[in-house]
Amino acid sequence: MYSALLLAVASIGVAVVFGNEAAGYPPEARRLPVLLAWIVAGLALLMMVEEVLKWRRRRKLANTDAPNDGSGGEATAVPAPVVWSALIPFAITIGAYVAIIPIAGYLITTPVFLLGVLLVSRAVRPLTAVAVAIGMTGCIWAIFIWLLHLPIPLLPMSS
Amino acid sequence: MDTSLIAIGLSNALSLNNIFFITLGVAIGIVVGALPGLSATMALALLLPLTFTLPPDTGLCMLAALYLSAMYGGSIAAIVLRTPGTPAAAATVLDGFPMAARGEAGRALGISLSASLVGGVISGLALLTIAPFLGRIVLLFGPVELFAIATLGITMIGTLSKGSPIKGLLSGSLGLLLATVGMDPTTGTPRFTFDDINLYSGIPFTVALIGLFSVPQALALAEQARAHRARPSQISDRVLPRIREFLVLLPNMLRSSVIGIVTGLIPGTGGDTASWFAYNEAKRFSRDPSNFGKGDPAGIAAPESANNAVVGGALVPTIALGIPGSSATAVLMGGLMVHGILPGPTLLTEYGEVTYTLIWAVLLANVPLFLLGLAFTRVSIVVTKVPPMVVAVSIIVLSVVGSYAINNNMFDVWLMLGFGLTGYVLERAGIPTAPMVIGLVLGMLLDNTLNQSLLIGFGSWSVFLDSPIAIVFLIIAVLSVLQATPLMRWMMGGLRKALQSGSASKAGDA
Repeated sequence: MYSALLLAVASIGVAVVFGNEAAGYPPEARRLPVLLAWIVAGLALLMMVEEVLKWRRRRKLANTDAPNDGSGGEATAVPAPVVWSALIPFAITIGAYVAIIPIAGYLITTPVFLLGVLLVSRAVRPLTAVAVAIGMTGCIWAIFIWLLHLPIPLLPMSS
Repeated sequence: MDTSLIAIGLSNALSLNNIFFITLGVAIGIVVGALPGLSATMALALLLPLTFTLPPDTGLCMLAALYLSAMYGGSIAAIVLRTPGTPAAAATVLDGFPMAARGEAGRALGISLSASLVGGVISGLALLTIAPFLGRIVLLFGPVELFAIATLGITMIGTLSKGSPIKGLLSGSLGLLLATVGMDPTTGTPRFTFDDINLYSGIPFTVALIGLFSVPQALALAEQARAHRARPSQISDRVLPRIREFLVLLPNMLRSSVIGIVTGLIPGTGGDTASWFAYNEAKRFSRDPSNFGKGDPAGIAAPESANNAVVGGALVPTIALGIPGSSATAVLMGGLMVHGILPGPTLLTEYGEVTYTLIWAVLLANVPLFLLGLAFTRVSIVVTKVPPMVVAVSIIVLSVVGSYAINNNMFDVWLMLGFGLTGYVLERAGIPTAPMVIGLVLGMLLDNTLNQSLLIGFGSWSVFLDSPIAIVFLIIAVLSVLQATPLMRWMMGGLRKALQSGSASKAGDA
C-alpha cells in the first residue's frame, strides 16, 4: 500500500512539474501535456482513494478473523516482502558498474561486475563464476562488437 | 499491388539470410521462454538493439520468431518445473506438471509443441488475411479517426491490464506524458528538456523499454537468489505425439487458436488471458471435466494453442492501425521505428515489402519452432537449472550494452536505469508497466493527430463529433473507462436489482 501511495504522490508531483513547465509554452505545444498532467493528477488521487479503501477492507477482514483463502480477492492479497538485503547491494553494485564503465572500459568492468556479484552472492561455485564472467563478456564482445560493430568504450579511455 | 507485395514478402522471408535469423530467433526464444522469470517482452527489449545493424526485415523476422517461440518455451518450465517460464504458460502448469510427474514429461512437451505449431500457423494465416483487409480500411482514416483509435487503444490497454484499471490508466497516462518530452513537432518548442541537450530528441523508446521490462526482472531475480528451486522432472518418454492423439486434440487446438487470435486483437490482452480463456473453454467442452488438473492432454493443448495464436492476433492492430496489441508488439513497433518506419496506415503500402516479410516470418517460424523443439526439448530443461543470480547479472549486462548502443551515449544507460527503478517500484505497487510503454509509443501519434484534428476544426474540439467513426471509437473508450469504475458497477447492480424485482412482482401477480 505504501509504495502505491508513494507513487501516487510522485505522480502528482510529476503532473505539477510538467503542468507548470508547460504553462510557458505556445498553445499548440502545451495543449496535450497540460491535459495529460490533469489526467495523471486525477488518476493519482483516485488511486490513493482506492488504496485506502483496500487497506480498510483488509483491516476489516483481519479484525473479523476471516480465513485468508483469497476469497477477498485483491483486497486480501499481500505482495511478497522486499528482500532489502539482496536488493540494495545489488542496485548499488549496478550503479557503480555503470559509473565505472566510461573510466575503466567495458571489457574490464563487465567481467569484474559479473565475477564480483556471483562470488559475493555465492550463487555458483568460484570456477563457474569465472567461466560465466569470461563467457558472457566474450559473447557480448563477439555479437555486439565484433559482428555488429557497435562502438562501445572497451578499454580505459581518457575523457 | 497487394498480391505482388505478398509474393515479395514471401520471397524475402525465404531468403537464406532471413531463414538463418528466423531460426536463430526461434532458438533464442525457446531458451528465454524456458527460463523462469523472463518474458518474451523482456527478451525482445534486450535483443532490439541487436537488430539495429541488420536490415529492417531481417531484424523484425528475428524478433517475431523469438516472440512466437518464447510462447512455446514458457511451457518447458511449466511442465518440468511447475513454474511457468512466461506468464502465458501459467495455465499449462495445471495439467502439464501432473503429466510430467507421472513420467510423461516428453508426451506433455510434445503436445505443447504440436499445439503451439497449430496455434502459430492459424495465427499466421489470420494475420495474412485480416491485416491487409484492415489496412485498406484504415487508409480512409484521417487525423480525427486516428486520434480516436489511439485514445481507444490506450484506454483499453489501461483498463484491461492486470490489476486495478485506475492503475493501468495512470501508467498509460504517465507514458503519454513522458512521450511529450523533447521537441514539439508542431511548433519546434523544446518541451520538458530542463536545458539538458540529451532530452531534446525525447526519451528514446528503446531505452525506456529495456529499463521498464528488464531491470525490474533482474532485481526480482536477485531477491529470489536464495529461494529454494524445484528440481526439474526428467524426460524419459517419447516427445513426438502420435498421429491419433494429435487428431483427437485437433478440434480443441483449432478452437483455442481462434480464442487466441480474437484475444490478441484486443489491445491490452495477451497470452495469459488467451491461455486461461482457452483452458476454461476446453474444460467446458470436455467429456470428463473432472480430469482437468490431473494431467489431461486437452488441458495442455488448449492454452498452448491459444498463447501462440495470440502472436498473429496482436500483430493485426499493430500493423494495420499502428496500435500495439500487447507490450511485446510495442517492442516490435519499436523495431520498426528504429529503422525509421513509422507504424500506421503506410505500413502495408509504402513499407509493404518489410511488413509482408514480417507477416510471412510469423507463419514460417513455426517450421523451425517444431523442428528445434523436437530436437532440443530434452536438452532445453538444462536451461531451467540456471541459477537466478546468473540470469539477473546477464540481464543487467545486456541491458547496459543494449541501451548504450542506441545513441552511443552513457546518458541513455542512466536513463535506462532510472526507468528500471521506476518499473520495479511500479511493479511492487501493483501498477502494470505495459500501459506506460504503450503510452510512450502512442504519445507522438496522439500529439500529432490532436494538433492536426484541431487545425482541421479551426481550434474547435467539436471536430471529433463530426466523424461518426471517431464518435464510435471515443464512445467505446469512454465505456471501457466507465465499466472499470465503481460507478458502472453500482449502476449495473441497480439495474439488475430493478429487473429482478420487476420479474419477481410479475411472478407474484401471476
